[in-house]
Amino acid sequence: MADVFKLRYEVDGDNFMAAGAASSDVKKVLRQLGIGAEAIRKAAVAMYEGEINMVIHAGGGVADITVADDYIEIILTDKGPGIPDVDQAMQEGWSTAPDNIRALGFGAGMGLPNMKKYSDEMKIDTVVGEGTTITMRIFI
Amino acid sequence: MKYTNVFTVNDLICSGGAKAEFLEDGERAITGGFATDLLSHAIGNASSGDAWLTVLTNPNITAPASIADVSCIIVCDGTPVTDALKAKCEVMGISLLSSDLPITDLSVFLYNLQAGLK
Repeated sequence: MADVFKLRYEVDGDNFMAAGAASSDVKKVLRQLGIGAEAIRKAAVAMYEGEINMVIHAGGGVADITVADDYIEIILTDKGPGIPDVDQAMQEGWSTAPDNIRALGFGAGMGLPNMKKYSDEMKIDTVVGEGTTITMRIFI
Repeated sequence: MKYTNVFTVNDLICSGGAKAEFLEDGERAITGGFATDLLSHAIGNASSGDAWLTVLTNPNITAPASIADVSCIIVCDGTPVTDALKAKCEVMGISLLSSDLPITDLSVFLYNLQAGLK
């Protein structure tokens, strides 16, 4: 079995202009590791949407990425407000982003649906008032 | 949409449809076009090689552009391009163009440009 490769990013909830930087870096690292283009795209999109959600809704968080033999795992952990109704949040077009965020092109209500679409497995653990952990896997 | 005939970023600039704000690779092929002002829409649906047509100019558009691997961003409708966006495109290695044409008009322009190629 090949070595497992791990990355950790602290996603800054205060630096809105840097949002997406971690995802862009993950894409670069996965390319350097020789991962296929389709898996890189899927991982980078899933990670980007999670990263943006943590910045907009949770004041930041942590992203842990594991690259194993046959999958890429992304675990996003935040101490934000939690998601009261996950089924509703998963509906395309549903968003709680404020207007000033929407004016920048965010808040389309496509973040969680994109994460589900681009990951092969996705699990949401959320507690209102405590935070959310989202685990996604993309098979290589 | 995917184009039948492929042209380059430089070809588009020479045609007069858009002007260069920052060029990472003028010889990169434009293989299709995608128009949206929603970042999640772009990252989820634009294809590698597409020209991304938008009126957004905040530097946050560069991450979706990079991850979707678009051939260039084209800021349409005469929307002023900010120095912050140009600087971010240089750092991220994304070609940035601008056009006075509205998004719909530039979409037609791009289609006609590739349709005219033999």
